[in-house]
Amino acid sequence: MRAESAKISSVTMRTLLPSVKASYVFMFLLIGSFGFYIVYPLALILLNSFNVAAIGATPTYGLQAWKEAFGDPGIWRSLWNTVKVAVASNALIFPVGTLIAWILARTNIPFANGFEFLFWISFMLPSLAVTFGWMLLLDPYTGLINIGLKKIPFLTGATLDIYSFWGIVWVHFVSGIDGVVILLTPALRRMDASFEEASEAAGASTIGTMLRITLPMMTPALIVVFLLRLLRSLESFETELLLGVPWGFYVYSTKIVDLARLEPPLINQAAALASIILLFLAVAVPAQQRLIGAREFVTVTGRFKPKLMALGWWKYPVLIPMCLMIVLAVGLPILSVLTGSFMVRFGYFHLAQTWTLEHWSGALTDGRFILGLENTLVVAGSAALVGVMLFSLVAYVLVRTKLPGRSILDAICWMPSAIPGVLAGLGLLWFFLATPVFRQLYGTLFVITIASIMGGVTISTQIIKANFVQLGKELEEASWMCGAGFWRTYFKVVFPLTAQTLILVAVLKFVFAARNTASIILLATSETRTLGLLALDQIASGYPETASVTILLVVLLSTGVALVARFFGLQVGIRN
Amino acid sequence: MKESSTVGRPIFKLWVMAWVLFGLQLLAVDLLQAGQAGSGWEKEWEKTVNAAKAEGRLTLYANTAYETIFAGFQKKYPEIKIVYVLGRGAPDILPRLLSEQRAGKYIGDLFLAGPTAAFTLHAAKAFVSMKPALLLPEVLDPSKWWERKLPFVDKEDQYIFAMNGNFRVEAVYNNKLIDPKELKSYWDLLNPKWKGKIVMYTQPLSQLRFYYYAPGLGPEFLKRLFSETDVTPSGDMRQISNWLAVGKFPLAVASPVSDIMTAERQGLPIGVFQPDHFKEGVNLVAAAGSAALLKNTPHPNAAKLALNWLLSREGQIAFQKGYAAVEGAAESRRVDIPKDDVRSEFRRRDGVKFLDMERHEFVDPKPITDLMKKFLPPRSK
Repeated sequence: MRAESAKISSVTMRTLLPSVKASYVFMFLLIGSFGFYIVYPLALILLNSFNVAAIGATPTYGLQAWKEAFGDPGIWRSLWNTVKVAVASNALIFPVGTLIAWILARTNIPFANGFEFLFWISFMLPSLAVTFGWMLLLDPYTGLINIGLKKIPFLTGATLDIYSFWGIVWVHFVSGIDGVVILLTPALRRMDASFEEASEAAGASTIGTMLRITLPMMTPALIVVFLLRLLRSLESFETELLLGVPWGFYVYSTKIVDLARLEPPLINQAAALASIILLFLAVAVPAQQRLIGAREFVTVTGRFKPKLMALGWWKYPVLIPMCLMIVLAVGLPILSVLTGSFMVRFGYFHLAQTWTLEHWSGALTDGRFILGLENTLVVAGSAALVGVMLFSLVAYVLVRTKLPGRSILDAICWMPSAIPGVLAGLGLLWFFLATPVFRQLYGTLFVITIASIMGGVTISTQIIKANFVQLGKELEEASWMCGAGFWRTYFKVVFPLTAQTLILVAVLKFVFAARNTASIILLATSETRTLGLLALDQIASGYPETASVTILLVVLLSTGVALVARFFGLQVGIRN
Repeated sequence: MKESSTVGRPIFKLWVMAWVLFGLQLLAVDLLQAGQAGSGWEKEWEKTVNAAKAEGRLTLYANTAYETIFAGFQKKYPEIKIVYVLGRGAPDILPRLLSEQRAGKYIGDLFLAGPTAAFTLHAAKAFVSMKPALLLPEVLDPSKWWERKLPFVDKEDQYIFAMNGNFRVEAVYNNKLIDPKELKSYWDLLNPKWKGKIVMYTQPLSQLRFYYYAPGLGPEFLKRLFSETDVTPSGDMRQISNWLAVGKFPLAVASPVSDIMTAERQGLPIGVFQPDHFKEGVNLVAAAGSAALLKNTPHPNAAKLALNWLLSREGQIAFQKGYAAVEGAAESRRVDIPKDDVRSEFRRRDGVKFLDMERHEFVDPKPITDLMKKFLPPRSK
């Protein structure tokens, strides 16, 4: 059987890659192109961290920036704060998110698809909008909840302060849980019910089965989602900037942003600080490879049996916290951002004139809006379509082949997540200017499209990879045995099994590209401005409320795309 | 007696005729010279306009306000497509522009932002002299500009043109919680009653230069402001105006006025001091109202045309109005334009001590950064 399988594998590889030599060339090209695109900007940023000359002066190299960055007494405290926020928020997000994903994917809870889609919408909301929304509710002076609390007898002194450690953790919790849910739900849905049935037949309870069978089988997806969450915690700065800096609470990323936003900016010190995430990755990525490589986690085989667990009378009590979570993660932020978009000034209810349509008319009649929309559709559409094809190929190579250099390629795909957005933009600027082919295209929409396609390489590749790890080879092998070629097998077997994940990745890439500003801001002009950048320019021009309308329109556009994609995904993917 | 009068009359006539002829000759010479000069700049101007239209493009590295300001230019010269490179201010534009120039990619024509960033670019030799590009007599005429001189602020007097120059007191307050009469001198900010009640804008630090360089204040004032008042630093203008409005901090120092003025217009209780309020005087700022001509500009004629338009009477009226609408305050240093739209808090006036903060003598922020590092207690919690 093993010999037969090996024979089939070699046939397959031959179909895909005509010879061993060709497969090596293919891998070399893949590592070369990804490495060049990802490692080169990173190397330029690192090199700049040793440049001690003032901005604009001829570069001279030394360790001064590193000494100054790490000599700042506040940096160690801010690192400790980062760890505290990451631990506290992920201790809440990860278990709750996993539980919700399990309920949505493995049980017969009513409206599961609707709930899952609402978490998608929550994911599309920029964290800045969510933070603003909670400030509107929990600002100690003007927050609606606090104003309400003051009117309740015996509670007149009670105030929920969003500008506090737990305020920051709370916003991370309600804005971070969606990511875990939407990433884990498709993975859990691909779980073969026969494992769970065997567990229950052996006398295990539903919870026991979940903890001993379902979740351990999900190890690759859980590790990937956990690592992505940790990286997100290290990079996050908008929430801490708005809720932490006012009371002197700094985290590592706000320190980096502080340095990079000085006038003139201290890019070298910011780059030196950013290297800490690289150290983290140097430990985390090999550990992740070892953990996933140590066992087999195939959950979708030829005998795949999709079946949901019956919740019984628990069905309705479970609905209550689920609805509450949706209200917290989606309802309140959207409602407050929507309310804010009709207010003269966001959060101020006691002004002589409180409500206005000015921001909506300002956004919709802004002559730059149509061009921004066109650019967004080109950039985000390309990022979604090309990105998925490219990263599914990479993930396939990483999981399905034995080609040398796979761990290098995997490590390369993790690297971009080590660079905070504020520096990634600079790295890409230097990269495009230093590469003769791209230099000719600098300033065009093409360069922004390339940057957007390659943006989110870590999350895209790792999600698809975790999906392939779950997928047994035997279905593909059966197809090949029946005489189907690579492409027929891919479209008839692999694609339906992975469709939901690929569509999820496509939607994520669309959303990221539509609202991304950090990595493309230094590449764009008014001709190539996307809606995300337009919102940024509106904020810089003193119209943050108009910008919030533009952002809402981006969310609306993304929701439309997600709806279409999801409908398509449900048609072609595995369902119960 | 009669004889002498008949003799005297022709002499008088000759004398008058001689003077008339002399006057006519002077007038002719004047007219001729003026005509020659006129045809000189006009010819050059016409040539520039035609060449600029042929170039068809103009790239501005600019503050976002210039998208509003240049609407008039775009209407007047529809053949020239304007491309803006905006970003989130100097920390974006500086590294981008310098990286492009280092890579030999010269895309920009004009730099229209604050002098602080302009000085950094000037030190990196990113600019060329603006003087040869100034063609219009109304732009070159010193009498049209404040203090009868072209307001270049660089040492060489030819690279960085600070067209804006409004007065700005480096403190604002919550007018429900503070009576402005309580503060007559900046030193009053050090009164223990304000301890923990002041927020200070720190990104960039350029606003603090006034305190450092103004006579009567200086390093000692900043040292005590940092060390005695428990001042809260913030890099977010919106946050500062919100805190002011809700009374979390009833006083803000060194804050740009863009969002402050928006908040005030929206009805929040924010007060702005009059320029003569503090005895130590007032800051004269260009904010992002300075212009410079970039090296190796790809559209030299469009750049020349845009620069002359911007500094002309028409351009400066558009600037003063457009810039104030976006950034809160502006007063062109051009004196032959209406000033009715400039609020009294920001308008230049005689008899008030001021410091022209944009001059090259006051550019270096390092002494302030050093003082801050030394005396501002770390706030990291």
